Amino acid sequence: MTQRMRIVPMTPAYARDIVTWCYDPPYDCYDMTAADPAYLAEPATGFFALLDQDELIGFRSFGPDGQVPGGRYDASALDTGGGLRSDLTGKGLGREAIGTGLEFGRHRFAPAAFRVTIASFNLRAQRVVESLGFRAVDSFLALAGGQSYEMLVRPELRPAPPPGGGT
Amino acid sequence: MTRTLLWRGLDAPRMEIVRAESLDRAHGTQIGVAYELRWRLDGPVLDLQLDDGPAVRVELGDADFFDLNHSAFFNSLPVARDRLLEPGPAREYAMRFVPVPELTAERAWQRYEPLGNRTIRYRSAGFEADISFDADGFVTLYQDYLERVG
Repeated sequence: MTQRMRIVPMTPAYARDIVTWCYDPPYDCYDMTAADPAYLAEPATGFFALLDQDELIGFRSFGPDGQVPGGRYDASALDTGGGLRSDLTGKGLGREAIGTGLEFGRHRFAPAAFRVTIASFNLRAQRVVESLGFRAVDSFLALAGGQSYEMLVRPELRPAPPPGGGT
Repeated sequence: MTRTLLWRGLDAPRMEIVRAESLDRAHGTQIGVAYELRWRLDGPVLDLQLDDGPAVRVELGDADFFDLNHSAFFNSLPVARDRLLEPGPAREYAMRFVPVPELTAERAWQRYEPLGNRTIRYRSAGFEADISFDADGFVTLYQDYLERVG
């Protein structure tokens, strides 16, 4: 049994690669060049690498890094974000990449809900996450730059533990 | 002789203490931010109880081993039985995986690949990480996830 994409721990080498990724406008707001690779590689920051076979194709994050200052965030959901390598965007890989991250995050962190924050102009990403069950709950202007963002949430439906006798 | 083992989470606040009489008989307490779980392994039966939930019993059935979410103890089971700290091919297992806090039992495919130097490359659907073990076959470091502190 194999799955094409997989999540792996973020290594310093992966992090150094990711901070070179640049995107064409208007997606250049997602450039990673300002990120500190040591920060990305620190386990507690919630960054993971995304591989296809053994090739680095993206990253996923879980936690506050997925928040944009200016949004109204609470503890009811786990923020998740990420990106694909810049030469791989627009090739239909987003749904599997995000889905692989969500499946991993569901087991690792067991959140009551996942939350994503996406630039309002990025309809491509919004369509992908909506196809994975996310629904818009808010929109806001970022404190820095005034960019408009959409906040979407996907509740995680946890099956109730079986009563007494088990499975 | 009962062995006491203690792990802490590297990616999130969580801890687990395990008292192992053997690899078939052990019990542990796992603590996360929002839960406290007690479990007891007795051969082909795994009993679990969350602090605010019902007792749950999971049977091994036709699976190779149990695997309890966030518990490094259970990674020792295939490693010990199949001597995976010695050089050899990768092995694949059908595990009875118990996610926390759901405590449902899921059949899960997992792959253990010996890398040498008492390290295993663990792989499940959509995830891969390296796990280091001590000479007794207990996890010392689960890459970016769990670290033994006692």
